[in-house]
Amino acid sequence: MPKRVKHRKTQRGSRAGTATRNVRIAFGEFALQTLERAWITNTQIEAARVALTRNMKRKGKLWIKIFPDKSVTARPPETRMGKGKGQPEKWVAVVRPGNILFELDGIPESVARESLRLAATKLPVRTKFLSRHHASAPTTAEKEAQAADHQPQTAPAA
Amino acid sequence: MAIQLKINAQPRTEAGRNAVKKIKQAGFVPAVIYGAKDPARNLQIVERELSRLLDHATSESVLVEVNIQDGGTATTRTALIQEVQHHPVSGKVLHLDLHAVAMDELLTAEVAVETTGEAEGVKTGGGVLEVILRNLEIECLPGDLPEAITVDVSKLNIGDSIHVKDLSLPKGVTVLNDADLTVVSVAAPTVEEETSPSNLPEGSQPEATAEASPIAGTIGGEAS
Repeated sequence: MPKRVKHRKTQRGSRAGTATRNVRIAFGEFALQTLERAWITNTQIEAARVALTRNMKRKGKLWIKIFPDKSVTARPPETRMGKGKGQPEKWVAVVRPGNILFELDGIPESVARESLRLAATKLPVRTKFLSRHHASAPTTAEKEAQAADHQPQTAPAA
Repeated sequence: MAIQLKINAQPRTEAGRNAVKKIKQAGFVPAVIYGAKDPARNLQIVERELSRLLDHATSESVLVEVNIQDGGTATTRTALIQEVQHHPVSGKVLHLDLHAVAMDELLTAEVAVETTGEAEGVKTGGGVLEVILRNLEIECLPGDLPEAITVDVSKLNIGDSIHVKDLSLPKGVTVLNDADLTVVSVAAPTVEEETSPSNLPEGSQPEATAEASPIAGTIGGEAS
């Protein structure tokens, strides 16, 4: 949650569309991407972070790419309508399909995959595991050999 | 030097959202080719062919030989893949920018950094190899464009790093990045304390305060 904010209460805003920023892996080797739109609370992010670091055995490096900077208000129970907006209840990060949630580096892919799977169980969205290099990414020598054999196919008429 | 890949393209006369939507439904990717003092041309490329080409390339900044089939005539132009637009969720290619190059003129391109070997500090000391600079901006002739810059990290111990000035570059290639930038380093293993439940932030009792605005105050501390 933020240390200081200019305005304590915010309007709900729009979560329409897909993400346009924070959609590519920027720092690490592996990442967790959301496939749904949601408000992810600070406690959910923290639970996911704890699950991640425990499974990584505190090795490697972790980047949390979302930040809960939006306050959500709620009315106390059994109160009548009116009398103004409720008090801030929790902090959320707005995520849209395509946003990267976490990035990892310095650990094997199998550990990263399992860690991010465990973290995903703490989140209210469906997610996808991403890797900077896909599993079958060839080495430079293999690429050169493959490219030498690469023959373009004839394109069908438009 | 990078191996030149080949791709077939067809000229595209229609532009705009609806026309491009139809092109995509027919299994093509819209593209544009510009540069080398020729007028820009709209193209379309078979999606499967393009995906196969990009899957086999180290980075998306590769030199390709574009074979433009316009009716009965075919023209070939050498171009650098300038930009590939992907769908944020499905990862499908939405659009391709091709920058036509003249083989005798210097070009500027971003090339991926590839590490080889296992760092000594990672193998014995349990450190973490950090690739800080994943792409290098280079200048060279199109014929000299490398597919990737390979960095041997096997001799790195914990705390060691390789800078741009330490890189051994292929002939004819100049790096445009600052020479003092760190490319890779080996960091010491981080020992993080186990977070106790009392340290976890509580959503219901936030500590954040807002003092910038006269109407702001301690969150949760003001009754309506």
